[in-house]
Amino acid sequence: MLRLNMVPSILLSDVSKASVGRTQSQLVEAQRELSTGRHHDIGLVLGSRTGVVVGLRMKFEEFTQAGEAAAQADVMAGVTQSTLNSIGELAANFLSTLSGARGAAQGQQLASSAARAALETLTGLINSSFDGQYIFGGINSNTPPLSGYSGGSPEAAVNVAFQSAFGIVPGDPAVSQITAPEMEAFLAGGFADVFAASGWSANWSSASTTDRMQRLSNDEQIEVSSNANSSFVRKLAQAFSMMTGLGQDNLSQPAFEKTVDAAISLLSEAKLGIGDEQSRIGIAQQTLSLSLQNSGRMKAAAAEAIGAMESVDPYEAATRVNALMTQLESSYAITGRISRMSLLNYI
Amino acid sequence: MTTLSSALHYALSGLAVSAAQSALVSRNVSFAGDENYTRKYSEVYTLPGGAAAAAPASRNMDKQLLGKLLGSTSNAAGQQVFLDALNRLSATAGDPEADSSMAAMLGALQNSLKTYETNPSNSVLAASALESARRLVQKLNGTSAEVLSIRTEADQAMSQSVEHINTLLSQFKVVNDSIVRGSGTAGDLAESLDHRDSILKLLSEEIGIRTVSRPNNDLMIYAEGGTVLFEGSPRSVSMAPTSVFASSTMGQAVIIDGVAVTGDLSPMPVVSGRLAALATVRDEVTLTMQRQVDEIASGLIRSFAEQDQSAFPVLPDVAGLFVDATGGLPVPGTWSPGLASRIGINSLADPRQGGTPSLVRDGGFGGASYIYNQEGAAGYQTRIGQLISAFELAGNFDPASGLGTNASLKDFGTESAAWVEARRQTAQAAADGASATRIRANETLLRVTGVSIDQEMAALLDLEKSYQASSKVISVIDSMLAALFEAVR
Repeated sequence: MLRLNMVPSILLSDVSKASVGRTQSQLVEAQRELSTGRHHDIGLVLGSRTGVVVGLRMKFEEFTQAGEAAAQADVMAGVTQSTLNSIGELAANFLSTLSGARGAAQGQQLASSAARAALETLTGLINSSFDGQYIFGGINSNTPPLSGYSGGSPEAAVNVAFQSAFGIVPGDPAVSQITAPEMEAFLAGGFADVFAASGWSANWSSASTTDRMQRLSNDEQIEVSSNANSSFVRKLAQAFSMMTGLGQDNLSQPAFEKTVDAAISLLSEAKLGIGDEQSRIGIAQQTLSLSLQNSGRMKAAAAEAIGAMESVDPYEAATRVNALMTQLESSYAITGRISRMSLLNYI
Repeated sequence: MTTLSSALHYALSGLAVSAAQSALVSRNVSFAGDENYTRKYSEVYTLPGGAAAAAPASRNMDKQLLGKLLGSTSNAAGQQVFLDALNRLSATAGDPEADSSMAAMLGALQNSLKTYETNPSNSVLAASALESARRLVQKLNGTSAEVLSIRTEADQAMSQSVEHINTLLSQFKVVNDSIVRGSGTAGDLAESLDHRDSILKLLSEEIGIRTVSRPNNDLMIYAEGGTVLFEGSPRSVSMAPTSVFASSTMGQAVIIDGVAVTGDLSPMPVVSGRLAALATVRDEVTLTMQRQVDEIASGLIRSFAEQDQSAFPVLPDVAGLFVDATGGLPVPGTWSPGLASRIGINSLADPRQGGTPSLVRDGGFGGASYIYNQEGAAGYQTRIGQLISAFELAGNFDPASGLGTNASLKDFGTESAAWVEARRQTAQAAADGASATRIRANETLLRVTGVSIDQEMAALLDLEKSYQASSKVISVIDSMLAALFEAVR
């Protein structure tokens, strides 16, 4: 029997069913791509390159975090800078007070009360905190780094040193008997020891000698804060307490002048130290702002790379949606026509 | 001598043939929508004596095309199963945008630690780092559970597939027996042959098969690889299901006729069909994935482990923030099955279990000798810094996990995501291809076997004409006989 090779009826409906189904699912995908701007199934489209996208997204988060941390550290560095400014001004003001007090009547009392006030201001400034952390505390960030002078352990330490050198307390009227050379020797010896590293940590400072570090990247850390154990803080404290804790009320003029000279030289050194510290933090601020810019750029680059891998061309997607809709409509039309087309209609 | 009565006899036989063929047309039309139905036709032959008769129904069939369809059906069914499993594995990571992959959570934990490092005295930051760690642990536990459930389900599906194969084979025996018995007799075997082919199609979805024809329309079925599935009677197909799956449990192999057909050691492996794909899912893909998840867990526990901080360290390293529920530290480069389902947050640091999150900063999970923050500074950063760097150090991973053994913990995470998606992409392409091939093979076969209603209608017109002609002949003979009777009256 001759085979006619006519297309079986089941095939006619099957093929259109299959093609309509496929087109519909493609249309849904294309519509989603059009509305989100991303591939409908990133993993499927990218395959092994999905790892790159996941990695880029991690980088993006990493730079976001680095940017936030750098911005915060920048604020902290700014606070440190202005605190250092205030400390510098405090030193300068006291220096001029001191120069005036040197020869003046009541100079001793004037200097003493000014010094006591300056000590309190210094303590306040050094104990300033930011975001719950004491800026000058090193890693010991939750304890105020500097103890208050009056009535505190610093004053006690000064008194002990004074007593062991002269055998009397600073408030004793016999202080007037102390000669200038004796005072000079004490200032360089027992008194200076109070401000040496061990004495300082024992009586004045609770700051850790380990500095706070700021992380810029996975393997780069910088130091942006100052420390209450720095020599300029010690010198300031030394100069101030020298002018208030050594029995200034009764001190002989030559001995007083020795203390003033020593305080002036300490203050000058401390001012230099503050300048150094400010420029060190200035450099750190510069690094921070570079790092901030850098993390911004890297973030943008990562976002761009993510976009390049995940995004679909919106024009292409729109065209595809149109093409698929046209295709679907023609499929419907053809299915309708074919289903109506039958020999049955003609016999 | 030819007589009018023999002419009448021929005409009647013509009517009978037309009726028989119309019956076939009617059968063809009513089954036109059934894929398994093949178009039936009947040849006309001449009886001794000259009358026409319709032969028993024959059918359009092409054994080669059927073989192709069976092969492509096995392939498509297997690829689909494989793809489904990979889709589920891929879903554990989700869209990269959602940052819900293991890799993204590793990154999130590192970032939380970095934020914590900026202000280690802040207990809110400590708690938030701990929450990041908890999410990561939950992700690892969840992924491990999902991988295990995919394996368990694959094992159950294999057992169901084996059951289905046995049912199909016993149905096959009934039909095949009736065909062999009916062969050589005048009976109509066409429907039984259709039925037998439809069983083969179902069988090929489960397992790749080849058939061999034997005398009397008998059919023998081999599984791919050469084991006999059916020869006169079904051979036994069996697989012992594993009731409780653990991460290291290896499922049982499928045994056909005493020979293992799945697994590495199979001498006659089946490679296509659902059964083979399920075996691959159960014994290879999910197992590798499990290894990867376990290695990430192992890397985490090892990265966060603590060392003796004494001046002269003598104590062994102990687990830090992340612990293995069964205790101890994982051995680098060696698979610890199911570690990802056992990993947890050290209760000493977990506020929900009465712990202190700041142990992350200070160390000391293992006791006083392991305290890193020996001066007790609230802003101690060194330990947190070490933990941050640990994400970037080479992890010394198990080579059998299929990823870089010397990758960093973070890179290992991204590689794992890439590993799944690469396989999924390939599987999707393979499944699309296999499905298209199956559809084409089916179309090609249907072109040969399918019923065209138009063709049947055209044939019906023919039959109508020949029926009319035969009827006409009868009425003419009738009038001739009437004329004869008129003449002799």
